[in-house]
Amino acid sequence: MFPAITRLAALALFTSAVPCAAVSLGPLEKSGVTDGPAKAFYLSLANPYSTAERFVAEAVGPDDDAPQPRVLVFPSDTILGAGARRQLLVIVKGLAPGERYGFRLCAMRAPRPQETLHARVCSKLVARRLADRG
Amino acid sequence: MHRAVFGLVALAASQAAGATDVNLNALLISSCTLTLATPGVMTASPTGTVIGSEQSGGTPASMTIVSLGVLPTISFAAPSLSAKPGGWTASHTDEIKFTSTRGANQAYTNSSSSFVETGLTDTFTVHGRVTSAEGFAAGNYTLTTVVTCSQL
Repeated sequence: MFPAITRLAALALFTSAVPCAAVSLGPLEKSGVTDGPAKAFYLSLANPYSTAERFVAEAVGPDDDAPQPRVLVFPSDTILGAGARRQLLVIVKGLAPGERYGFRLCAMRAPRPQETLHARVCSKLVARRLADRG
Repeated sequence: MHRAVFGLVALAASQAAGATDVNLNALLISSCTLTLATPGVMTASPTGTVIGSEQSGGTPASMTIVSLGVLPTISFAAPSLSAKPGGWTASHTDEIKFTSTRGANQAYTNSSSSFVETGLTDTFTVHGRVTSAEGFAAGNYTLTTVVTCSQL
């Protein structure tokens, strides 16, 4: 049944005719030490498009896409003008004394329906809190 | 004596009026820019059991990478159909394959795959295909994968 119907479907979209995705993020790796329970990082997000675009950023695990509720991103959803660049503030909370916490901060243009390849760039971040001195 | 004094004055004058260094500095941070240059199109095979970008009339997607400071890894997540006609429930296999000007060469796979860059710029050609022995219903199909640029 389906093969017959397929002949009617002349074309299937691999990617649609919507504008293609692009994103720029750096640095790709950063680490820092703190003596308190929180550590902040700054990353630079850029819009390579010639038009304003909406970008989203989220923290995921170092080796998987598990959400990281201990990480805050400001802003996590932003609109950048053509060729514009802005800083993202990334804050890790709840660091225990002596803890080393690694994760990735990934940014991508907000996905659109029927867009096939979702391009994202991830920065690997590591925060470490100094151990208490007894 | 006078000649020596004139010489010193001339030297001092030449230093005062001498060339000044003009420096143009750049502070670069490691970064990666991913751009999907061209979208791809999948079409149906004559047998009706495959839709893919390598079928007649299909085109691959093209993607460029520009990195600064580091040689990143480009990872492709396992592809999946993010859009398909309602009511079409046939079993199917979703696959992509890619090559790049820097030497990436991944055969069709339905799993995740990656390539460690060997240069700061690269261009990928990405093909996709969906196979179903039961055929396809009429409508739009979108094969989706997430491409990630990162430093391992």
